[in-house]
Amino acid sequence: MDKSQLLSFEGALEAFIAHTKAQQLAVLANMVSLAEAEEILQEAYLKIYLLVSKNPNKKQPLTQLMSLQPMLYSIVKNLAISNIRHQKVVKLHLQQSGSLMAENGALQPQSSEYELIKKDQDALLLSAINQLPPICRQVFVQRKLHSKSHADIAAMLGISTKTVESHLAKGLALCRDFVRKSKREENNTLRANSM
Amino acid sequence: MNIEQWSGYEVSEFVLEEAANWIAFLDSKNVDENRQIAFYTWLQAHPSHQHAYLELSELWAKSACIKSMEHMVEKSKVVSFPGQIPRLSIPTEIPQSSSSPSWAYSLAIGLIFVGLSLPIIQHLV
Repeated sequence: MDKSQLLSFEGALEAFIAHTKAQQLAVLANMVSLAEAEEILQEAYLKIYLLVSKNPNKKQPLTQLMSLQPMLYSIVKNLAISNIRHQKVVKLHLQQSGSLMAENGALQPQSSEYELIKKDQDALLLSAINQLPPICRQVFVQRKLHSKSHADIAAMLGISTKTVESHLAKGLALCRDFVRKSKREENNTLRANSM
Repeated sequence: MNIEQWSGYEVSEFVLEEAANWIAFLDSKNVDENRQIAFYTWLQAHPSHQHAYLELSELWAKSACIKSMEHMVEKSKVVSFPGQIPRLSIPTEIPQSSSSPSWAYSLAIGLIFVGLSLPIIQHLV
Protein backbone atom coordinates (compact mmCIF):
# COMPACT_ATOMS: atom_id res chain seq x y z
CA MET A 1 0.00 0.00 0.00
CA ASP A 2 1.68 3.32 -1.00
CA LYS A 3 1.37 6.47 1.08
CA SER A 4 -1.39 8.18 -0.91
CA GLN A 5 -3.50 5.01 -0.80
CA LEU A 6 -2.84 4.65 2.92
CA LEU A 7 -3.94 8.23 3.54
CA SER A 8 -7.10 7.82 1.54
CA PHE A 9 -7.78 4.53 3.27
CA GLU A 10 -7.26 6.05 6.72
CA GLY A 11 -9.55 8.91 5.73
CA ALA A 12 -12.14 6.46 4.50
CA LEU A 13 -11.94 4.56 7.77
CA GLU A 14 -12.52 7.74 9.75
CA ALA A 15 -15.53 8.58 7.58
CA PHE A 16 -16.82 5.01 8.01
CA ILE A 17 -16.51 5.24 11.79
CA ALA A 18 -18.18 8.65 11.83
CA HIS A 19 -21.04 7.26 9.77
CA THR A 20 -21.67 4.13 11.85
CA LYS A 21 -20.46 4.69 15.41
CA ALA A 22 -23.39 6.62 16.91
CA GLN A 23 -25.87 4.05 15.67
CA GLN A 24 -23.82 1.15 17.04
CA LEU A 25 -23.36 2.87 20.40
CA ALA A 26 -27.14 3.33 20.59
CA VAL A 27 -27.69 -0.38 19.89
CA LEU A 28 -25.17 -1.33 22.57
CA ALA A 29 -26.42 1.23 25.13
CA ASN A 30 -29.00 -1.08 26.74
CA MET A 31 -26.73 -4.08 26.89
CA VAL A 32 -23.31 -3.06 28.09
CA SER A 33 -21.67 -0.10 29.78
CA LEU A 34 -20.41 2.78 27.68
CA ALA A 35 -16.80 1.79 28.32
CA GLU A 36 -17.51 -1.77 27.20
CA ALA A 37 -19.38 -0.51 24.15
CA GLU A 38 -16.40 1.65 23.17
CA GLU A 39 -14.10 -1.34 23.59
CA ILE A 40 -16.37 -3.59 21.52
CA LEU A 41 -16.58 -1.04 18.72
CA GLN A 42 -12.85 -0.51 18.70
CA GLU A 43 -12.28 -4.23 18.27
CA ALA A 44 -14.95 -4.48 15.56
CA TYR A 45 -13.48 -1.57 13.57
CA LEU A 46 -10.03 -3.10 13.87
CA LYS A 47 -11.28 -6.39 12.41
CA ILE A 48 -12.94 -4.62 9.48
CA TYR A 49 -9.84 -2.50 8.95
CA LEU A 50 -7.55 -5.54 8.86
CA LEU A 51 -9.85 -7.35 6.47
CA VAL A 52 -10.23 -4.51 3.97
CA SER A 53 -6.56 -3.53 4.14
CA LYS A 54 -5.66 -6.97 2.72
CA ASN A 55 -7.74 -6.43 -0.41
CA PRO A 56 -5.37 -5.92 -3.37
CA ASN A 57 -8.06 -3.69 -4.90
CA LYS A 58 -7.42 -0.30 -3.32
CA LYS A 59 -10.07 1.58 -5.26
CA GLN A 60 -12.91 3.36 -3.48
CA PRO A 61 -12.00 2.37 0.09
CA LEU A 62 -15.01 4.12 1.61
CA THR A 63 -17.41 2.23 -0.67
CA GLN A 64 -15.67 -0.99 0.27
CA LEU A 65 -15.95 -0.25 3.98
CA MET A 66 -19.58 0.83 3.67
CA SER A 67 -20.45 -2.38 1.87
CA LEU A 68 -19.13 -4.31 4.89
CA GLN A 69 -21.60 -2.69 7.30
CA PRO A 70 -23.56 -5.95 7.80
CA MET A 71 -20.32 -7.60 8.84
CA LEU A 72 -19.52 -4.79 11.25
CA TYR A 73 -22.96 -5.21 12.86
CA SER A 74 -22.42 -8.96 13.17
CA ILE A 75 -19.00 -8.53 14.75
CA VAL A 76 -20.39 -5.99 17.22
CA LYS A 77 -23.30 -8.30 17.99
CA ASN A 78 -21.04 -11.31 18.57
CA LEU A 79 -18.71 -9.36 20.83
CA ALA A 80 -21.64 -7.95 22.82
CA ILE A 81 -23.24 -11.38 23.25
CA SER A 82 -19.99 -12.92 24.40
CA ASN A 83 -19.50 -10.00 26.79
CA ILE A 84 -23.00 -10.42 28.27
CA ARG A 85 -22.61 -14.20 28.58
CA HIS A 86 -19.29 -13.74 30.30
CA GLN A 87 -20.78 -11.26 32.76
CA LYS A 88 -23.67 -13.63 33.49
CA VAL A 89 -21.35 -16.53 34.23
CA VAL A 90 -19.15 -14.38 36.45
CA LYS A 91 -22.20 -13.09 38.33
CA LEU A 92 -23.55 -16.61 38.83
CA HIS A 93 -20.19 -17.83 39.98
CA LEU A 94 -19.86 -15.00 42.46
CA GLN A 95 -23.33 -15.69 43.84
CA GLN A 96 -22.57 -19.38 44.21
CA SER A 97 -19.16 -18.95 45.72
CA GLY A 98 -20.43 -16.54 48.35
CA SER A 99 -19.17 -13.34 49.77
CA LEU A 100 -15.72 -14.66 50.65
CA MET A 101 -14.77 -14.95 47.01
CA ALA A 102 -16.25 -11.53 46.30
CA GLU A 103 -14.22 -10.02 49.09
CA ASN A 104 -11.06 -11.57 47.75
CA GLY A 105 -11.62 -9.83 44.45
CA ALA A 106 -13.26 -11.00 41.26
CA LEU A 107 -10.15 -11.38 39.16
CA GLN A 108 -9.45 -15.02 39.90
CA PRO A 109 -12.99 -16.36 39.51
CA GLN A 110 -13.41 -14.33 36.32
CA SER A 111 -10.41 -15.89 34.70
CA SER A 112 -11.28 -19.42 35.87
CA GLU A 113 -14.86 -19.11 34.62
CA TYR A 114 -13.58 -17.77 31.35
CA GLU A 115 -11.33 -20.81 31.08
CA LEU A 116 -14.33 -23.04 31.76
CA ILE A 117 -16.40 -21.45 28.98
CA LYS A 118 -13.49 -21.74 26.59
CA LYS A 119 -12.98 -25.41 27.49
CA ASP A 120 -16.67 -26.08 26.83
CA GLN A 121 -16.41 -24.43 23.43
CA ASP A 122 -13.23 -26.32 22.62
CA ALA A 123 -14.81 -29.63 23.68
CA LEU A 124 -17.78 -28.92 21.41
CA LEU A 125 -15.45 -28.17 18.55
CA LEU A 126 -13.53 -31.40 19.15
CA SER A 127 -16.79 -33.36 19.09
CA ALA A 128 -17.62 -31.61 15.83
CA ILE A 129 -14.29 -32.66 14.34
CA ASN A 130 -14.71 -36.22 15.64
CA GLN A 131 -17.99 -36.66 13.82
CA LEU A 132 -16.51 -35.76 10.43
CA PRO A 133 -16.23 -38.52 7.80
CA PRO A 134 -12.82 -40.28 8.17
CA ILE A 135 -10.87 -38.80 5.25
CA CYS A 136 -12.36 -35.38 5.76
CA ARG A 137 -11.44 -35.57 9.44
CA GLN A 138 -7.89 -36.67 8.67
CA VAL A 139 -7.42 -33.72 6.36
CA PHE A 140 -9.01 -31.31 8.83
CA VAL A 141 -6.96 -32.59 11.81
CA GLN A 142 -3.72 -32.46 9.84
CA ARG A 143 -4.38 -28.90 8.74
CA LYS A 144 -5.83 -27.39 11.90
CA LEU A 145 -4.28 -29.40 14.72
CA HIS A 146 -0.96 -30.31 13.16
CA SER A 147 -0.59 -27.24 10.91
CA LYS A 148 0.42 -29.29 7.86
CA SER A 149 0.32 -27.50 4.51
CA HIS A 150 -2.20 -28.44 1.81
CA ALA A 151 0.67 -29.82 -0.30
CA ASP A 152 1.97 -31.98 2.58
CA ILE A 153 -1.48 -33.40 3.28
CA ALA A 154 -2.02 -34.06 -0.43
CA ALA A 155 1.30 -35.95 -0.61
CA MET A 156 0.56 -37.99 2.54
CA LEU A 157 -2.86 -39.07 1.33
CA GLY A 158 -2.04 -39.35 -2.36
CA ILE A 159 -4.72 -36.86 -3.35
CA SER A 160 -4.62 -33.52 -5.14
CA THR A 161 -4.36 -30.20 -3.27
CA LYS A 162 -7.72 -29.32 -4.81
CA THR A 163 -9.22 -32.37 -3.06
CA VAL A 164 -7.56 -31.31 0.21
CA GLU A 165 -9.19 -27.93 -0.23
CA SER A 166 -12.59 -29.47 -0.86
CA HIS A 167 -12.29 -31.73 2.23
CA LEU A 168 -11.41 -28.69 4.34
CA ALA A 169 -14.40 -26.74 3.03
CA LYS A 170 -16.69 -29.70 3.61
CA GLY A 171 -15.24 -30.29 7.08
CA LEU A 172 -15.73 -26.68 8.06
CA ALA A 173 -19.34 -26.65 6.88
CA LEU A 174 -20.07 -29.92 8.73
CA CYS A 175 -18.45 -28.63 11.93
CA ARG A 176 -20.60 -25.52 11.69
CA ASP A 177 -23.74 -27.63 11.33
CA PHE A 178 -22.78 -29.75 14.34
CA VAL A 179 -21.95 -26.76 16.56
CA ARG A 180 -25.12 -24.93 15.57
CA LYS A 181 -27.27 -28.00 16.18
CA SER A 182 -25.67 -28.65 19.58
CA LYS A 183 -26.13 -25.03 20.65
CA ARG A 184 -29.75 -25.08 19.54
CA GLU A 185 -30.37 -28.24 21.58
CA GLU A 186 -28.60 -26.68 24.57
CA ASN A 187 -30.74 -23.54 24.31
CA ASN A 188 -33.91 -25.65 24.09
CA THR A 189 -32.88 -27.59 27.20
CA LEU A 190 -32.11 -24.38 29.09
CA ARG A 191 -35.44 -22.92 28.04
CA ALA A 192 -37.30 -26.07 29.07
CA ASN A 193 -35.54 -26.13 32.46
CA SER A 194 -36.29 -22.48 33.14
CA MET A 195 -40.02 -22.95 32.54
CA MET B 1 -35.20 -6.82 21.20
CA ASN B 2 -33.67 -9.87 22.86
CA ILE B 3 -30.41 -11.55 21.97
CA GLU B 4 -32.04 -14.32 19.95
CA GLN B 5 -33.96 -11.87 17.78
CA TRP B 6 -30.90 -9.75 17.38
CA SER B 7 -28.72 -12.67 16.41
CA GLY B 8 -31.38 -14.40 14.35
CA TYR B 9 -30.39 -14.49 10.76
CA GLU B 10 -30.57 -17.39 8.39
CA VAL B 11 -28.00 -17.99 5.72
CA SER B 12 -28.71 -20.45 2.94
CA GLU B 13 -26.77 -23.70 2.65
CA PHE B 14 -25.53 -22.57 -0.74
CA VAL B 15 -24.01 -19.36 0.64
CA LEU B 16 -22.44 -21.27 3.55
CA GLU B 17 -20.90 -23.67 1.08
CA GLU B 18 -19.53 -20.75 -0.92
CA ALA B 19 -18.07 -19.19 2.24
CA ALA B 20 -16.47 -22.50 3.27
CA ASN B 21 -14.99 -22.86 -0.23
CA TRP B 22 -13.52 -19.36 -0.06
CA ILE B 23 -12.00 -19.97 3.37
CA ALA B 24 -10.41 -23.26 2.29
CA PHE B 25 -9.22 -21.65 -0.93
CA LEU B 26 -7.67 -18.64 0.82
CA ASP B 27 -6.02 -21.07 3.26
CA SER B 28 -4.17 -22.76 0.39
CA LYS B 29 -1.67 -19.85 0.20
CA ASN B 30 -1.75 -20.34 -3.53
CA VAL B 31 -3.96 -17.37 -4.22
CA ASP B 32 -3.23 -14.87 -6.96
CA GLU B 33 -4.30 -11.26 -6.80
CA ASN B 34 -7.26 -11.67 -9.13
CA ARG B 35 -8.73 -14.44 -6.99
CA GLN B 36 -8.24 -12.36 -3.87
CA ILE B 37 -10.10 -9.49 -5.48
CA ALA B 38 -12.79 -11.95 -6.54
CA PHE B 39 -13.16 -12.99 -2.90
CA TYR B 40 -13.64 -9.39 -1.73
CA THR B 41 -16.12 -8.77 -4.52
CA TRP B 42 -18.09 -11.81 -3.37
CA LEU B 43 -17.86 -10.75 0.27
CA GLN B 44 -19.06 -7.21 -0.36
CA ALA B 45 -21.83 -8.28 -2.69
CA HIS B 46 -24.40 -9.37 -0.09
CA PRO B 47 -24.97 -9.26 3.70
CA SER B 48 -25.56 -13.03 3.78
CA HIS B 49 -22.07 -13.58 2.33
CA GLN B 50 -20.63 -11.54 5.16
CA HIS B 51 -22.63 -13.36 7.85
CA ALA B 52 -21.59 -16.75 6.46
CA TYR B 53 -17.96 -15.76 6.07
CA LEU B 54 -17.77 -14.27 9.57
CA GLU B 55 -19.32 -17.28 11.25
CA LEU B 56 -17.20 -19.81 9.40
CA SER B 57 -13.96 -17.86 9.63
CA GLU B 58 -14.38 -17.59 13.41
CA LEU B 59 -14.98 -21.34 13.63
CA TRP B 60 -11.99 -21.90 11.37
CA ALA B 61 -9.77 -19.79 13.63
CA LYS B 62 -11.09 -21.44 16.81
CA SER B 63 -10.46 -24.93 15.48
CA ALA B 64 -6.73 -24.16 15.45
CA CYS B 65 -6.88 -23.31 19.16
CA ILE B 66 -7.84 -26.78 20.38
CA LYS B 67 -4.41 -28.33 19.99
CA SER B 68 -3.98 -28.31 23.77
CA MET B 69 -7.10 -30.46 24.15
CA GLU B 70 -6.04 -33.21 21.84
CA HIS B 71 -4.79 -35.36 24.73
CA MET B 72 -8.24 -35.18 26.35
CA VAL B 73 -9.84 -37.03 23.51
CA GLU B 74 -9.79 -40.75 23.00
CA LYS B 75 -7.03 -41.54 20.54
CA SER B 76 -9.29 -43.68 18.42
CA LYS B 77 -11.47 -40.64 17.90
CA VAL B 78 -8.80 -38.17 16.88
CA VAL B 79 -7.41 -40.03 13.96
CA SER B 80 -3.69 -40.62 14.08
CA PHE B 81 -2.01 -40.30 10.76
CA PRO B 82 -1.68 -42.17 8.49
CA GLY B 83 -4.18 -44.98 8.28
CA GLN B 84 -5.25 -45.64 11.86
CA ILE B 85 -8.89 -45.09 11.17
CA PRO B 86 -10.90 -47.59 13.23
CA ARG B 87 -13.29 -48.23 10.36
CA LEU B 88 -10.45 -49.06 8.02
CA SER B 89 -9.10 -51.59 10.48
CA ILE B 90 -12.31 -53.63 10.35
CA PRO B 91 -11.50 -55.53 7.12
CA THR B 92 -8.19 -56.68 8.62
CA GLU B 93 -10.16 -58.35 11.40
CA ILE B 94 -12.36 -60.33 9.07
CA PRO B 95 -9.75 -63.01 8.18
CA GLN B 96 -9.51 -63.77 11.91
CA SER B 97 -12.80 -65.66 11.61
CA SER B 98 -11.08 -68.15 9.28
CA SER B 99 -8.17 -68.54 11.62
CA SER B 100 -10.02 -71.16 13.72
CA PRO B 101 -8.09 -74.36 14.52
CA SER B 102 -7.20 -76.44 11.48
CA TRP B 103 -8.94 -79.53 12.95
CA ALA B 104 -12.29 -77.74 13.20
CA TYR B 105 -12.97 -78.19 9.49
CA SER B 106 -12.24 -81.94 9.57
CA LEU B 107 -14.32 -82.35 12.72
CA ALA B 108 -17.30 -80.59 11.13
CA ILE B 109 -17.09 -82.79 8.01
CA GLY B 110 -16.74 -85.86 10.24
CA LEU B 111 -19.83 -84.96 12.29
CA ILE B 112 -21.88 -84.35 9.17
CA PHE B 113 -20.76 -87.71 7.81
CA VAL B 114 -21.67 -89.47 11.11
CA GLY B 115 -25.02 -87.69 11.14
CA LEU B 116 -25.81 -88.74 7.60
CA SER B 117 -24.80 -92.34 8.22
CA LEU B 118 -26.85 -92.68 11.46
CA PRO B 119 -30.04 -93.92 9.71
CA ILE B 120 -27.98 -96.50 7.86
CA ILE B 121 -26.35 -97.70 11.11
CA GLN B 122 -29.77 -97.76 12.85
CA HIS B 123 -31.18 -99.73 9.94
CA LEU B 124 -28.34 -102.27 10.12
CA VAL B 125 -28.70 -102.58 13.94
